Amino acid sequence: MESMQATRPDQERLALNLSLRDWLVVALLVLVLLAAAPSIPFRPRAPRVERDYRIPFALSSRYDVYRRYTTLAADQFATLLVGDSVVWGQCSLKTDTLAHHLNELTKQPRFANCGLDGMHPIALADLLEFHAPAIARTRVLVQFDRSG
Amino acid sequence: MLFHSVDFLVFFAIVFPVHLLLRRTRFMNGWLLLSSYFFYAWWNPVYLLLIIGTTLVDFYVVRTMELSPRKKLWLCLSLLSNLGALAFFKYIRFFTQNLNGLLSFVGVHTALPVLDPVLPLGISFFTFQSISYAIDVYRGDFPAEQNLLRYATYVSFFPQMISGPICRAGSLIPQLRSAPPVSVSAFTSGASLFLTGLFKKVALADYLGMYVDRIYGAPENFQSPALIMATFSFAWQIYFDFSGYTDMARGVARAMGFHLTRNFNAPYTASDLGDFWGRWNITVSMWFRDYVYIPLGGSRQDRFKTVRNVFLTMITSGIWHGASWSFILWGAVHGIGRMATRELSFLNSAVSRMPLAVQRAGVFLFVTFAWIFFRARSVGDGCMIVLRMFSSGWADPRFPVILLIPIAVVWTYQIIDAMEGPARRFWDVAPVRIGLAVLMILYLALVSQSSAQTFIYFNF
Repeated sequence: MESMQATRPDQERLALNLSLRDWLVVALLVLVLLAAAPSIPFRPRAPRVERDYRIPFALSSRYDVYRRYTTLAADQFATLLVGDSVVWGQCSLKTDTLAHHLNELTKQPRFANCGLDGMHPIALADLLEFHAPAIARTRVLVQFDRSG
Repeated sequence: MLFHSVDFLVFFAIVFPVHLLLRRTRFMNGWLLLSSYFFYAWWNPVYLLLIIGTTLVDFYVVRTMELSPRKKLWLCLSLLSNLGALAFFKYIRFFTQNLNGLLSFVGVHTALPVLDPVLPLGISFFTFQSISYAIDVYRGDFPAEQNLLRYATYVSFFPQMISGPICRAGSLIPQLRSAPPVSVSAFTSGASLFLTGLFKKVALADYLGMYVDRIYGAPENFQSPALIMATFSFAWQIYFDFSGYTDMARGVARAMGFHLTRNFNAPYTASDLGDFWGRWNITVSMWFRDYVYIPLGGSRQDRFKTVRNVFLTMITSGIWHGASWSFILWGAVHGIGRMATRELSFLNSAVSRMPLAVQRAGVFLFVTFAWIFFRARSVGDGCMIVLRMFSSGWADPRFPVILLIPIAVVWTYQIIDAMEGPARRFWDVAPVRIGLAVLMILYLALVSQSSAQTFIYFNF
C-alpha cells in the first residue's frame, strides 16, 4: 500500500495514440471497408436470446442485466411481455409460461418473457422508465398485480 | 448519460465547441458546470439537488475551516455532510436489515422500517472527491478554493463525476484556473483514449458479461468448468468495463485540454498484491492509502498494527464498493492476501525468489478467486460457487472461445509494454496503430451490440 504511485500525465504512454494524419487514414480505411461490407458473405451476428429465456430470480435487482436483456429481446421479438411473477412464471417451468404458450399459439417466437419474479409494480415502473429504453421502440404487453 | 451513446455524442458536439469559445474567458467554469449538471440530470434531475447541497456545504464549511482555530470541528461537519449522504443512500438498507436480523436473533421482535432509497449515480465518487478536498485543506496541503463556481466544477466535472477517476484538488482545481491547452494533438490523443475505452467496454466487457450473467445468475445449474470460465471472464469483464470507462472519461477530458489522473496500469501484470492495488483503480486505492491507511498509522508502527491497518483498509475498501456482506468478504480476502504476502516478503522465502511470470500468475489467480465474492449475489452464493468449482462435474462450459483472442492480445500487450526493448516499439509503428484502430472501429460497427449497457462501477 505504501508503494502506490500515481503516474504523472507526462510519464504516461498510451496504448493507442493516433495523430491527426493517422485518424484521417483510419477514417478513409473504415469508410472504404464499410462500403465493401455488404458484399462480404460472412457477417458475425449479435448474441441471440434463447426462446423461453427469463431472467433468473437472483438477478432480479440487477438493472444492468434487465437493460441488456430487454435491448436484445426488443431486437429479436415482436412483443415483450412485462410484469411480475405472473408473467415471469413463478412455480412454473420455462415451458409453461405465458410467453411460451403465446409463442406456441402463434407458432412463431414472437413473445419474450421480460417479467421479473417478485417485482413490485412501482419498482418495475421505475426500472422500465430508467433502465429499459429499448422497450420504447417495440410492442409491449404489461401486466400488473392490482393489489401490489 | 452513457459515454457510448448517441445522447452523449450530441451532448459533446454542443459542449465542446462552446468550451473552445469560452475557455479563455471567465465563463469557462460556468459553462463546464452547467454542462456537468445537465449531464448528471439526464439520469435523474432530482438528485442534482444532492450534489448542489453537498457542494455548497463543503465549499462554505471548508472555507470557514481554513480560517478557524477549531479546524477539527469544521472538518467533522464536512465529513458528516458527505458521509451522511453516503450512509443514507448507500448503506441505510443494509444497516437496518442487519439490525433487524440482530434484534430478532436476541429475541427483540421490533423491526425497524427498512428504507431503500435509489442510489444516486456516482455518489461514492463525488463524495470521496469532496472528502479528499476537505482533508487536504485541513492538513494544509491545499488552500481552500475561494471561487464557488470553480469548486462546484471540480466536484461535478462531467467526465469523471460518475465513476472517477477521483481527482485530488491539487490536480484538477489548478487546471480550472487557467485556459486549458486544447490542441489538435490533445484532441486526437483524447479521441484515441476514447476509442480504446469504447472498444474495451462495448466489444469486450459487454460480451463477456453475457456469459458471466448467465452462469452467475444461476450458479447451481452449472458445473466446474463453466463456473471457472465465468470467474475468469468476470475478472476481465470488470477490468475492461471499469478501465474502459476511465479511458473514455480521460479521453473526453483530454480532448477538452484537461488531464485526469491515470486509474489503471495493467493490473493483471502485478507481481504482488501491493503492486496490484497500485495498478487497479489507482485513484481510489490512493484515497484509501492517504485517508484511511496512513491516518490509522500506516506501516510506521509495529508489525501487528501494520497488519491490522492493512486489513482494516481493505475491509473499508470492500464496504465502499457495496453495501453487502459479499463485498466485505471480498475486502477481507484481499486483506488476508495482503497480510500474507507482506509477511512472506520479509522471509526471503522461495516465494519471493520465484520467476516473475509465476508471481504474476499467482497474483492473477488470487485476484480472480477474490472476484467470486465481488460478483456473487450473496456470501452463500459465493461459497457455493467455490464449493461447486471443486466438487461438481466437468460438463462443457459452452464458453465463447473467440473471446480468448482479444484477452490474449491485451494481456500480451500489457506484458510487452512493461518490458524495455524492441518488442515494445512494435506497437508504436504507424501501420500497427492504424490497423488496430481500423479493426476496433469495424468490430464496433459490425459485430458488437448496438445497445448501450451501463458500467459495473455505476452500481457503486
